[in-house]
Amino acid sequence: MNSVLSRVLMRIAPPSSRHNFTSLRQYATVKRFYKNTNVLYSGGKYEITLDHRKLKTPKGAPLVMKSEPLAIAVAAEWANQKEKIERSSMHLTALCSTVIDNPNKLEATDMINHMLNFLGSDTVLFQTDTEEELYKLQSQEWDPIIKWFNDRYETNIQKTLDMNLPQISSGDKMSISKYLSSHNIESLHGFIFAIDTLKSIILAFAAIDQHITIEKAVHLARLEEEYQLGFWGRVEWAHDLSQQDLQARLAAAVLFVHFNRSETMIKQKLMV
Amino acid sequence: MSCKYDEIDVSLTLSSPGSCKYSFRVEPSTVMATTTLRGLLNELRLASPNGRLENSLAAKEEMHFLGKTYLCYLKSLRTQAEISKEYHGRGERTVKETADLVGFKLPTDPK
Repeated sequence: MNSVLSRVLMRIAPPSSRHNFTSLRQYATVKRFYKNTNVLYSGGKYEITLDHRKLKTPKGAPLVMKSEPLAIAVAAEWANQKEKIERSSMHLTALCSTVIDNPNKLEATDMINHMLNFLGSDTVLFQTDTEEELYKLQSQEWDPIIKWFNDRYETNIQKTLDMNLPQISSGDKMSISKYLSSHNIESLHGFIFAIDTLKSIILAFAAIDQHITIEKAVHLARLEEEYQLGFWGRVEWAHDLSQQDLQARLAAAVLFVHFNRSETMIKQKLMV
Repeated sequence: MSCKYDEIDVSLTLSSPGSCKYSFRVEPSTVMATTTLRGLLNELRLASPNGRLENSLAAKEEMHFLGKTYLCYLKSLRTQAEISKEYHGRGERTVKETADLVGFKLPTDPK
């Protein structure tokens, strides 16, 4: 029996003879072909069903996950689709599929190195010295987060005001790498998704550590944009759209990390 | 929580006999409830794997945070979809729509 998703995928990725535009058109108009979604539990893992068919990843592997709340959230994403299936808005499903298919063939060490290299270009470390008002805002909003990060992860990362990259010592990299390597591969995918969303390791860690809310983290990541909006006006279809998109992505990443790492804790609680 | 009940105990022992009598008239059920609650807390403490209750408080806070995060997820997705729907292109505009957009009038429109 053909899986639901591979059928969808065959329509999304048509033979090369077809024009690219056609594939895009079809991607946008996959109709909802199921009525009910459900979560199945077998062998310590959860699966999603659409009617009687099991959900699969883009590569055709069964979409399985260890966390029950995550499975319910993924099922809810599919249940929330109206006439058309909008896969671009299903971030939790996308994260689960990415972990299973691993399209970039990433190992844990690759991911940790990627994140450590990102630290030198962290958004909050680059503050302006040419515009006084903006600098005031940046140091008022970003500095407490940098301080929190340094205290929490025992690092000494300093912001920069010019073209020079902030210096990250090998000791700082070691402490962050040690923290990251205590996570499983699923959580690391969530970390990368959060960092790519915010363009900042420091803000991503603060959101995942429950130090700041999702809305606050996205606001801080868009701080300069918000500042410029004050002068030039706000355009709903650009600024609000990107803000909501970033919030949804970050929220998905944070949920994904929590569901994948707190699994043991939730099990313990249920036993009590 | 137990701290609150400790405070009641202290205030009972220190208060004058009169007020003590008054408070005891209301007490019996409260005292029994307190004892039961305290016993429960104690049992829970002994039963939990780490022997501490702070754990469950942290878990409660985490649940609250996750709830807020999930709310933000659903809300942001919905708002995003609404904005897209409102502004997404619907193909070519008619001459009339384009004229309205820039504030022009068609020759056929009344002046």
